[in-house]
This record gives sequence, structure tokens and C-alpha cells, in this order.
Amino acid sequence: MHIRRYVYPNGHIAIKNFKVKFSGNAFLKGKTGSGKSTLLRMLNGLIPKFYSGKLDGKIRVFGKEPNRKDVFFISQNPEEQITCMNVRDEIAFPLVQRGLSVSDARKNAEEIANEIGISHLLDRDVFHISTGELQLVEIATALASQSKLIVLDEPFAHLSKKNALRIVRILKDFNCVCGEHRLEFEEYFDITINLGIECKGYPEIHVEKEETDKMIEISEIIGFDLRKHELVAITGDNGSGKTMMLKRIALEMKKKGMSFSIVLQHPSYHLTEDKVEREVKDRFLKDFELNNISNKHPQSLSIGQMRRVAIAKAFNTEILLLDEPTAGQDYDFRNKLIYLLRKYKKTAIIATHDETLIQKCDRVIKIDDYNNK
Amino acid sequence: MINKIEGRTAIISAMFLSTSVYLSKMNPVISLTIFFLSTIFTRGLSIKILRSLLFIGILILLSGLFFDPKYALKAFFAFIAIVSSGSLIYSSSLNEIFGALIFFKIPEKFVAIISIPLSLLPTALNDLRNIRFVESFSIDIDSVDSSNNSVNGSNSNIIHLSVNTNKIIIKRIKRIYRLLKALVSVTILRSISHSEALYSKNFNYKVIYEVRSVTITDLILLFLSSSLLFFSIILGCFQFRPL
Repeated sequence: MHIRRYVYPNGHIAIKNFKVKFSGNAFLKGKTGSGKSTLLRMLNGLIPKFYSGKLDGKIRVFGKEPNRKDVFFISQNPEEQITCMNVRDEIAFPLVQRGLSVSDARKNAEEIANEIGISHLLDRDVFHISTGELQLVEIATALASQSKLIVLDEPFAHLSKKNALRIVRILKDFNCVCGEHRLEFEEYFDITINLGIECKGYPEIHVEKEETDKMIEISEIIGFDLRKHELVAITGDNGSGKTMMLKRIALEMKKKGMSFSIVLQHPSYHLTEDKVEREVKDRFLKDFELNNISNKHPQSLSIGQMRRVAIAKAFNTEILLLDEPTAGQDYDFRNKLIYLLRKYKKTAIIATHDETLIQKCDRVIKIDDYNNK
Repeated sequence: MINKIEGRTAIISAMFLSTSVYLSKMNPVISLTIFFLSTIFTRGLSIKILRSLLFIGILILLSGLFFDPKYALKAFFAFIAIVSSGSLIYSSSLNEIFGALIFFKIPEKFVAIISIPLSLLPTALNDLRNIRFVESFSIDIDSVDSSNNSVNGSNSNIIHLSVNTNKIIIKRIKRIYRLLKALVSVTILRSISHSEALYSKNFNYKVIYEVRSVTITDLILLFLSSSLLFFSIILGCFQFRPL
């Protein structure tokens, strides 16, 4: 891959003077907006065939022009990859498109599902499973596709560590390029390509917790109370019901007439204005590093940037319910989020798989244990 | 899966029943029979669909009242019958419906083109549900002064959204506007990403479909819907007054 210059259709230069040779399985890291997704999309020809723009350079995959037959690409949002109603058919879909009979394709899909450990999902509808489970299904789709190279854009963003490690081990047997922010998995890959990682380091802020009698009684149903300025992490395996729990807490708090904000995994649900500066209050723009994009339309940003805008918007209230806030965020922001929550003395319940984030929270609720109670 | 109506049966029955409404000149007895038949065979699913589309039925009823109350009632029942007969297709498996279309010699390319948006429909509904969920908690950016915010459980410290009764309607309209904006944006983004996914998955206009043999329940439904069609033809002939 030798790119002298790639210019987006809107005239913005995305990549300049970049040269790399991928082999085996490669790990691609870089801060949000560094061009990881753009690079990955070049490998199967999505750029410039699908997204256009001006590409000056040369890309060869197994000695050929980038093409979708040899390279299978999975984007970072699994819900946007859905093509069938049922999990079994979803995994079989690319094989059927390659000319395999439906029964053979389904058989292959079942084998891959067994290998990944999602055979229990095979008969379920894709829209009834969690985002993490859907991510696993889409990875299974890629593995079943019989492509020579698999390109994954943030495949571990929604996965629990256990599931992510299982995928990493399976990927060892495939040629793959994996763009990812969760650096804990870097060591499992043959080579690493760094597009620039920033790690500023943030001071630890200690916020005085209120006395136990000043608690937010969020629920008799949910079964736990929240102290003022407390950061609570909800963890659990994929499909354990973290998002569901967060939604139940939100409904409970609404019933009690409390003011709070909830940020779901899909950030575009929250963005309704035509400029970032209209979504986010001025004082949060700088803290969330949104100054440079304050004039842009929120829906035109990358998923990571959109999520940042959605979280910054939620900072208007004191209590925040955040669902996977660090998914798709770079290493620096993952550390910064806790710093900002402490700085603005927020109270938050965070559903997450991110172990760095979990460690910095005041309290951890494991949803698997909670469900067993 | 086996409890669902077989794809070909669902399509033929739906066609027969909706044609019956037309041929019987919207006879209320035929319409109500179709409604009951569909309710039984879809195990109540038709009622759920009707409930969600009731506002259209009421609009038909109200607009018909301007002309003739009797006609309005007939049109309302006809609407119920058409939606109920359509629910037969909805109650079958989507893969079987695709299989039925291919069985009826509809080109696979055409079936493939309609299969993708149909498969995405639940995702779009999920989006709508989530946006409504998020919007139900949203507050105006300027209406909150976070310095006064409290998270204390006692009522005096809880922020209640300051809603002036005079502004409720404007706020609701604004909310619906925001909801629509978010929905349109999400749908556009989803469409782009889905086309990207189809490109990546090597979409070649091939459909995953199923064709299974009919059960005794399917045969009963076919018999009843064809009988109703036959009866409607006779009823229509008797009502036909050319001069």
C-alpha cells in the first residue's frame, strides 16, 4: 500500500504519504480521526470505488487491484451490516452470494458459529440480540466468507474481554487487518502499524462522596442506589442485559421525576442539530476536543466523534447513564472520560466492557452475578 | 416455525381475501368474516397490526361520514378486512414468502431487491423505538442550569423539568420535529452503511429462501379463502345493476 495522497469528495485531505506492507495478521492503531477506517476501506476497494474521492497511489492485495471477492470488510457498527432476519442466514449470506447452495452455506455457517461459540444464537432474529452478540455474528460472517483477507474495523469495541480473546485466537489462522483502539489486544497480532497514538495523561481528581443518606434511590426494582458524584460501572458478558438494565434505570428515574441524560450505543440517536456547536455547550467543546469540528454537521462525523458529541451533550445534566461510552474512542479519550466526569462532578452509571474504565469507577456491578441473585 | 402459515398459502389466501372485499362491493359481512378468519389463522397478530394502523381506519371513517354514514362504515370494515388479509403474509416466515415468490416465477433479482429492505425493517423500527426512548428524556440545552442540579433523592432537590402549560404544545411539536430529524439522519446513515455492507458481502442478487410442504391448517385456510372468494363473486353478481 503506497498512498501519496487521498482526498475525500468534500476536498479534505485524509491521508498523505503513507506506505505500508501488511502480512499475516496486522493490528492498526491510531487516534480517532487518524484515518484508520479510510485505510481499511481502501483494502477492498470501497475507497475509491464506492465512496469516490481522489486517490493518488498504488494499492495491491495479493498482487491484484483491491476487490471485494478477495477482501471481506466489516465496519465498526454491526447493526449496519445486517442483510438477513435470522442469524444462521446472516452468516450464510456471503456464501450464497458466492454461489454456494443455501443448505451448504447454512451448514458452513453452523460450523463457524460453533467455533466462535455463538451456536445458541443461530435460530434467533438478528434484531433481537445485543450489539456485542451481533458483532460476533458479523465476525462469523467474515470468517465463513472464504475471503483471502479479512479487514475488521474496531471488531472488539462491543465485545467482552473473554469473547474478544476468543476471536483474536481464531483470527490467528487468517490473514487479517484489524483497526482497533483496545490496545490490550495488540500483542496477539504479528505486526502493528501505528497511525499516531496520543497519551496525555490526566490528573486523578478525588471528588468527595456525599453521606450515605444522600443517595439517589433509583429503584426498588433495580435494587441498588447511587450516591452523589459516584461512578458505577455495570459489566457483564455480551448479551447479559447491560443496555436493558440501563434503560430500566432510566425509566425508573423518569418515574421519579429526576433530571438525567442517557447515551445509547448508537450516537446518531442523540444528534438532532445541524452543527456540533448547537448540540454541545461551549464550555464542553474544548474539553471534548470538538473545537475543530464545531461547525460541522454532527451526522457527518465518524462514529467515534459522534459518540463524543453525544456524551458532551449529555453533560448538561448531572446524572448520566452511558452505554459503552468508550466504544470507538481512542486510548487518550478513554482515560480522559473519567477525568471529565470527575472534573464536572457528575454522577454516572456506565455499562461497559472497557477494563481501564471499570478500574477507575467507584463501584462495579457485575450483571451476571446480579441476574443470578 | 411450523406454526406459521406456509408462504405460498399466505400469499394466495391474502390475494383471495382482499379480492373478495372488492368483488363483494365491500359487503360488511364478507369484511367481518375476513377479519375473523385472519384473526384465527394469524393467532391474533392481525389485531395487533390493526391496532397500530387504527388511526388510518378512523380517518377513513371520519372522511366517509361527510358523504354517507352507511358508506363510511362499509369503507371502515373494508379497511379492516384488507389489513387483516395482509396480516396473513406478515404472519408467515419471510424466507418462505421469498420462496413463494420464486415458486410463482418472480425473477430472483427482483425478489433479492425487495428482500433486503424487508430484512432491514425491524432495524428501522428498533431505531424509531430507540430515538423515541432517547427523546422522551431529552431536555432543552439552555433550560438546565447544572449548577443548581441535584441528584438527591428528596423531592426538594430533584430537578423537575420546568414545563409551562402554555408552552406544552409547542414543546411537543418541537419534540416531534427533533424526533423526525434524528430518524431521517439515522435512516440516511444506515442506508449508506447498508449499501457498503452489501458491497463488502459481494451481493450478487441471490436470495436465501425456503419452500416447505403445506400442512392441513394451510389447506383449510386455502379452502376457506377460496370459498369466500367464490361466495363474493356470486354476491357481487347479484348486487350488479348495469342499468
